[in-house]
Amino acid sequence: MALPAHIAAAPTSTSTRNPTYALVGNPNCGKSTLFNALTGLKQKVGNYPGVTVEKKIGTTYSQHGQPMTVIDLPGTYSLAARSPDEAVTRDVLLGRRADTPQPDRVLCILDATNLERNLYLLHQILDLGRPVIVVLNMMDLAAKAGLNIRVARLEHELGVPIIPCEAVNGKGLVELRLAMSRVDLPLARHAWDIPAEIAPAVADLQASLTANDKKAPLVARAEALLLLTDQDSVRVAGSAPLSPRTHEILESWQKRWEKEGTDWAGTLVNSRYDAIGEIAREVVIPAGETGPSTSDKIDAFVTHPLWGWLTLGGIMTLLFLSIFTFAEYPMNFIDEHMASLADWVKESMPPGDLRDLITDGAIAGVGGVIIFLPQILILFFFIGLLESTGYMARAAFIMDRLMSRVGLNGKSFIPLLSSYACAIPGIMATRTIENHKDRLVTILVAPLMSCSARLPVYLLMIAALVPGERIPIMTKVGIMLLMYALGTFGAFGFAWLFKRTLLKGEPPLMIMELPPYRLPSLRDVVLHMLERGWIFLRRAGTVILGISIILWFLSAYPKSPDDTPPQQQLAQSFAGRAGHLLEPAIKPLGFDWQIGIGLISSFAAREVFVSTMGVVFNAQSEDDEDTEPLRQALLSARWPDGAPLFTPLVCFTLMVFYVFAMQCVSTIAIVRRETNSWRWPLFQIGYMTGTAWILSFIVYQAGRALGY
Amino acid sequence: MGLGESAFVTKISGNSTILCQLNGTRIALSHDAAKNILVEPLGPRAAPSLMATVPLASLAVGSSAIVREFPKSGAAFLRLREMGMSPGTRITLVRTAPLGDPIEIKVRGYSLTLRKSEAEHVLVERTE
Repeated sequence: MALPAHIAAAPTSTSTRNPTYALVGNPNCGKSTLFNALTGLKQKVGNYPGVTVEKKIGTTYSQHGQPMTVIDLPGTYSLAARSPDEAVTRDVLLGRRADTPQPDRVLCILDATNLERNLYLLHQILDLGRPVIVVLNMMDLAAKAGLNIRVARLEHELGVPIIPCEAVNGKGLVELRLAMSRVDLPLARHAWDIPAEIAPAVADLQASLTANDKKAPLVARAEALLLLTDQDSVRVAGSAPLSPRTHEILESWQKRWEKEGTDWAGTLVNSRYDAIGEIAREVVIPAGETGPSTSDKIDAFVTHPLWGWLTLGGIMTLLFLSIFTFAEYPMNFIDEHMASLADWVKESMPPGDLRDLITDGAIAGVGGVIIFLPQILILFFFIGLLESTGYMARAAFIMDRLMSRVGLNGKSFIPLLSSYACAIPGIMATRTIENHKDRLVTILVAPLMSCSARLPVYLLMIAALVPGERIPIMTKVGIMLLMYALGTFGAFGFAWLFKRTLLKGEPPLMIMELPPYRLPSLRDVVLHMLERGWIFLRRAGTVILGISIILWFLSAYPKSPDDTPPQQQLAQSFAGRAGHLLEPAIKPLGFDWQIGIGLISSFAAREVFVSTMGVVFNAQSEDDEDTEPLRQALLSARWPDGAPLFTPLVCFTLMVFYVFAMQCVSTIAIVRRETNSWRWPLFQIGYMTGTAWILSFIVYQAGRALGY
Repeated sequence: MGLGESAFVTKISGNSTILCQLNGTRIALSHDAAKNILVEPLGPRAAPSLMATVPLASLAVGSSAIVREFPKSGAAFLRLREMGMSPGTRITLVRTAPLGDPIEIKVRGYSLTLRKSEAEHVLVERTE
């Protein structure tokens, strides 16, 4: 059977011994499992320059031991990209990215349990004319569902090697490596008739793209087809706009079709699916009439009006418990060891500035970074499990209605919820949100969800606020809930505002696949968790360390004579002076310069406020749990004119301030990393701290007016 | 647009906007615009083939249908078509989310969610 002209003209497979492979496939088809299985720990995660999309490259070995590079491209349903991630996949495959040369060969993964939809992407990829190896994954699940796939027939239809696989079990990997090691790969038998109405336009565009946009002929054809699939030619062109001539041709065809009433984009998609449907009929022998599958049964429970909510509530509670309680043990462990390390250094080194820099600056700084690791690892482990089993999609499905009220979609739910524990993993988890505006809004409001670091501040203020030694538990809970509610409303309120104004965009689509429930692959979840943890350490860690040292420096210098008590030392340092400078700005909120020092130190971490107050009011205690001496010290603090400093109103105002203010340099560092610029973290500091100031002002002044 | 005198029009739905079928095209009218158009009702049996298509959003849970018509433009619809919901495809409405939105449908062997506002514009023909 003769090959179609455009494929016969294509260069035969490269004869390089070390070809680069691009790994592509639909989301949820087991692509990461396969990537991990092929490359093991030989993976590198970086960034594609200019976009916030992660670049994953790994090395695998051929049967002769030759290294082969595998690029794990973001999952996509089609080359007509809808999100920055999908745009990267498209651009790398079309050879548009200067930083990533067009891969020599393509590994396309298909999910055997829903072959037709998966074949759509393959159909587009075959247009590229590159050698393709198809991995037919999840064969075990297909067998369980009663589907019988005639692999040999499929290979015959498509003309490319088809490797059945169960990436989770490692089955098929040997055959895959063998196929990847082949020097010569057959070219696809991609004999597909472009519909008659569209064919001349494809030819025209292809010619112009080759001549005017300087594209290779096959790439030009693929691009021409893409331009006729997505109506937004600007989006398809991406960062390299079309030449005027090509644009002209496209527009004239579009106008002509408008007049004739031809649905050109639809025609192209339909024609692909017609071809796919024919192949599927030959190749897939469907199961007989089966009852509801296990997934269906689980879904009936999980999305049930009663049981569904209980399940969601249960899982969320477990998530929180694991952060608040399980993380404590490793966190205390880290604390103790950092302290012992500091002690050891104190003993081993002569007293002096260098020693202080190391113990109080560097070690404290490093400790301040590492202390986040347990929470981050636990949260990502949990999220990885939820994602891997398929439950995450259901959570988004259930919560979507609520989220769409403020212009977000259900996928923002888990990141926002995680931010109750700590905004850092929450913000890192926003990667699943495809729409970049929605992702940005979620990142911007996530820190408003009262994180666990604010708890020590709330607890201290509540202790100072409520008279008497023993606080009734209900008052405590009530005030805490109030603060959490304030933060939550703030987050949703600002999300709504941003979606209406700054980051106005199309309302997010909620077109999402609900993958069948699967047993999680623990290896993948753990690998993913470690990868996230490492990214945090490497990127955010450096920033946090740097700023912690600066903050230490500000509170240690200029030095007072050795016998000055810590309280005075702090008062005379740069930090103390900064506190004085800050005082006029925070006096209308009822805060004085001493509280000002606390606010500044909270930039290292919010909970540092408590220990700083301990130093400022000379009430450091041996035991972290015992806030009594500190509470007494706070209650006896006075303004120069003798009025009490920590009145109940001031305590309340301070809590409101902490709900909204953007502190915590670690969060700032992560936002910087996830948004790839300083603009958004700075904006975040501005709007949050500004709101904190205004609201605190209102609360304090109104309180005073009411006589408190 | 073809809505001249003596034109045959079928009303499909009338929520925030009025959707009607006219000569094979679907058009949407605001209530204000529709107020000024006078029609002579012909009854539900008048054009059986046209009446058989309903918005996807109005299917009952558990029922199946065949996709008939898609709006020609709009970001959502291209994506839906690329994910397998082309005219002639059989779909089943599996459930709605506990809060009422979005809906879950089964198409080409897998499950897909979409919002009612998106499903409103997809016309399907009931098969049960």
